[in-house]
Amino acid sequence: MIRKGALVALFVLAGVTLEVCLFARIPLPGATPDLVAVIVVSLALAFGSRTGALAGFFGGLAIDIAPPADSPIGVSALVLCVAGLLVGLASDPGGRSALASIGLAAGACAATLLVSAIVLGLVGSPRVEWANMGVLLVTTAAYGAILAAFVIPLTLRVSRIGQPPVRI
Amino acid sequence: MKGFRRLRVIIAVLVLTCVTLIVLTVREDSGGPLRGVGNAIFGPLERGASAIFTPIGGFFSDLGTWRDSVDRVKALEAENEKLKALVETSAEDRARVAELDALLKLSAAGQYRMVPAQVIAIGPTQDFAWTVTIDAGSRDGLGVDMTVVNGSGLVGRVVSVGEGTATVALMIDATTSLGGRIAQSQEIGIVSGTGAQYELQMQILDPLAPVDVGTAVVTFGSEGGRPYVPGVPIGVVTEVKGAPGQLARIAILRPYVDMSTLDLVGVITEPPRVDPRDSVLPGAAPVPSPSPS
Repeated sequence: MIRKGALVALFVLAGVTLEVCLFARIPLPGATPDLVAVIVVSLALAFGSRTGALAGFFGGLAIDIAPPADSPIGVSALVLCVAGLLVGLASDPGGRSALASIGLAAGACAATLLVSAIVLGLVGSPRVEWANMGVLLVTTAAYGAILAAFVIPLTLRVSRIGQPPVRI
Repeated sequence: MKGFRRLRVIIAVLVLTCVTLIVLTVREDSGGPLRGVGNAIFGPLERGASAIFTPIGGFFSDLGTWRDSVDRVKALEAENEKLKALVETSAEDRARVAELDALLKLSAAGQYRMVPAQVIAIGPTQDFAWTVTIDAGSRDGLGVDMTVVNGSGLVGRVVSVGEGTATVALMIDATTSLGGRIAQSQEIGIVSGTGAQYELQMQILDPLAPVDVGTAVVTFGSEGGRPYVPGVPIGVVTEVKGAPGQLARIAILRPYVDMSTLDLVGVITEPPRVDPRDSVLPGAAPVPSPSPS
């Protein structure tokens, strides 16, 4: 329990810092690679829906309060919490293929972007720009898939540290 | 089924917390105590991370070949690589010096007092907000609603301050709206960000005023110099929409500052005592310093 909490905290802190200090500075077309969303998906795949939802909540809250965020606090937390829950429920802990996991991460990146934009629009943010939403959705899904290919195996490996080996 | 009930309770609590937070912070301008917590946790992390990630590049010198003393070519290649890396880093240093120089000139021309700072983090595009983190904060004398500039002109304003970091909303952010004055003709208008990187909108207040493409726009200045000090170059008029006499005349401006290559910025901690008018614009004659009488 404590181990899981520490792991989630470590991943969230590293993810948010890397996203705003490294990925946002790389001049990539379209969206910024959404490392935090991919991390939430990978934690939901590794530990299930409850940890997924909690990781999504805290990861989103971190994105909302870490400088230079300036949006209403709670939007990312809400969206990523639901994303973590759904990914955890959708994945079958026994048999998941690598390709399905990567697809899930890409879909989650696109879905969180779209739902965040809708929520921001609903609470009256003047910033949401629908004109290039298509480009943003496609690029965030693509970057999410690439990140997932590295992050998901890492998370699964780290999540097994200190646990008895699984007998088949 | 007990697990599902617990899950339902957890989800209900989390979702309610999120909705409460959104409702509490949606009308807030400078962030509440939670932003302070975020600054305290992520400010030092971002400062550290940017120290690691900023000097990336020009670092892949060949380490494996210099041991081979027989192969002179390889040794020379290694030396060459090192020299190249040296040249690259000194080019970066020169660029920084040039930026600082431009900042100094701007501050001398406008008689602003400013604190230099470096951009250390950028908000993700998904957020739709054009905000960056800089590595100066309350301990450097920064406060909310201070003007941020660089050597080319206006960058934005400080929206929240932590101990060692501050968040700057760039002027291209869609929430930005400030008073602008067209150089020479003195016409005033409201400049607002569009969320697009190379475009600002300026609503001209006088429907009959002549506005020419290519004229410069500077800040009109807010009361007490906050959030915008007067006389900072904003951008150049590239297009005028609407004929003279029409009520809503919009001029499209191109900002002087390229937001995609922001690095070194200055935060104006003390506004000038007199409005520098157009003297800060690029190519303007330097103001004669007031001689003691």
